[in-house]
Amino acid sequence: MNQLILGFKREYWEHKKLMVIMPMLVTALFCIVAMAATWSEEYRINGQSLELHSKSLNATGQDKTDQQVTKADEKAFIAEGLKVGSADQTSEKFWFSGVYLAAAWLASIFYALSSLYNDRRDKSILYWKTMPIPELQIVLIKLLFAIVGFSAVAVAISWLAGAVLMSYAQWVFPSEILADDPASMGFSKLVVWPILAIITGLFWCAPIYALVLYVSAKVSKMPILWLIIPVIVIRVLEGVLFHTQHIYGFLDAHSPFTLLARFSEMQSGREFLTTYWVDSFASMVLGLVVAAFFVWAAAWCRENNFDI
Amino acid sequence: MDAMICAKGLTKSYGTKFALNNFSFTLGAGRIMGLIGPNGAGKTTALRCLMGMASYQGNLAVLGRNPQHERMAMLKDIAYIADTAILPNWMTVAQLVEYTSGVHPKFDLAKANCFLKQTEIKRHSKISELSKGMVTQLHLALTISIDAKLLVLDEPTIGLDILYRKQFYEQLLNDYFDESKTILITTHQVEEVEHLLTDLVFIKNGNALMNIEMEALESQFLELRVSDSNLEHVRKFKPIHERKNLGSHNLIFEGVAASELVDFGHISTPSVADLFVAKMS
Repeated sequence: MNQLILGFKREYWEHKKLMVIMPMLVTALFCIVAMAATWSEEYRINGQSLELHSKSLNATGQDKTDQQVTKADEKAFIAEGLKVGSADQTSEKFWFSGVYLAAAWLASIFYALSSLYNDRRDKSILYWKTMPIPELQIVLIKLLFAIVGFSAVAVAISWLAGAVLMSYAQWVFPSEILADDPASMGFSKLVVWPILAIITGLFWCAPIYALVLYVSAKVSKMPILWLIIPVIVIRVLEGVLFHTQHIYGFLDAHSPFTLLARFSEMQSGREFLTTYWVDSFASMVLGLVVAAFFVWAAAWCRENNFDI
Repeated sequence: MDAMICAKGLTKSYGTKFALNNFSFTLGAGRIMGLIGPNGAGKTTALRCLMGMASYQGNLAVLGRNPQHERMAMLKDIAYIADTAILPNWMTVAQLVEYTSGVHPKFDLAKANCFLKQTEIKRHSKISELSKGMVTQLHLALTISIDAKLLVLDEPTIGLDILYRKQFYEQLLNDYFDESKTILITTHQVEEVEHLLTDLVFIKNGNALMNIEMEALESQFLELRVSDSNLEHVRKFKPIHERKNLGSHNLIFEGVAASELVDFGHISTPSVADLFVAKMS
């Protein structure tokens, strides 16, 4: 057990910058967008409210100037405007956490691609190999860390960012707007959906990560090219020779980004669970078999052919 | 003598090239063996086979275990320094000590901390920030803190200055070695380990050229310094090596009794370095 914990700690020590930088960049992006959006929304609604308010007052025969519109009147109109503006966002259930997960999984692809390659290149593998730890265990830890570790850190940062952005929104907008806003970041969108995505991703995307780890354990140079070029070649050859795209289609379907894209389109957790854990269960099992093969192959390379 | 390592007919090839070719040797407990050979002789390959890091043909038992099939169990009783530059640069000293302490069942954390306190190595330093000598000290601290029965060293002091090299071997003897421990070492700096060794193996082209206990060296080999006048007489005894040396000639003989040569010049035991040159040429 201690070996497993230290295995994860070792990965965290080595890659903590990469793990944290991507979600932090996303957070920075969200902060900029939120501030810009707040400014433009306030500008638009304020202008709209004053115009509407003047019209309504004129219609009722009251003769108030723009300067006589009270602060309370203005807030009421802003609230109305925001509710109307956010009504079309109800289908975007997952976008906030989804962006964090996409960033985390992109970073984790690069992590997986370098994790079994860098220690061979700097020869530190010779030190790791003096420790009584099976290579299979090391590869499995890296697989788990790539899929779950990166995304878990990103989701944790998304919770913090969500809290900060909500606080900012509460400070800027009247409370009645946020309380009724159906697009505001609720528990399910921030917590349940990301966890569901991570668990599904662990099983569904395992063949992709296992393939990346195998490339990382096998090649002598430029692992990124050795990952991309064979996939392109397979796609072209399969298309030209057999007029099919079974292999490429399988890889594409099991990509974490395809998973996230499909997840974002779904209307409920039940629909998502049914799609991946019932309708596509056979493909998931096939993916796990493929993942097991690549994990074993990566461990074999570590055991027998690790020199660069 | 309990054999810590027993290699018989060890063979390893890379394509058509043989890195090890029917290589055999035995190393008993409490011994220090020097595996000496030129570049490309197969030393590192032999050590990697011993450590279960490379496949091979032939029979090999390390601590009574098969390195290919029982590597994990074997590694609990073996420590290995492949090169001083292999510690992960991105780690801090504290992280490396914590990791090694956590995953190796025979690692003595108190011993490692005690050893490190005697050095100038800071626990929060990154390994990339340490000098090569300090990295060697750190690696040695980690290695000798493992209560291993067998220590395998592959060119452990390469690239170090003379002070660190001396210090390395002193600490190895003082802090690690006792009659229950065994050391196998490969190095090019033969002169520095000569006084430590109990056994000597010369390897060339993947084959053991000579395998001898240091106690037997004196009786089996001798070096004779002769003047020009006696040179032709002693050549009849078929020296294995001959070199000119400031007006005299130094000849190395194998299996010739000292009494037969004593009248021709000054007799001594050849150094391992001279013997190595003699055997290799």
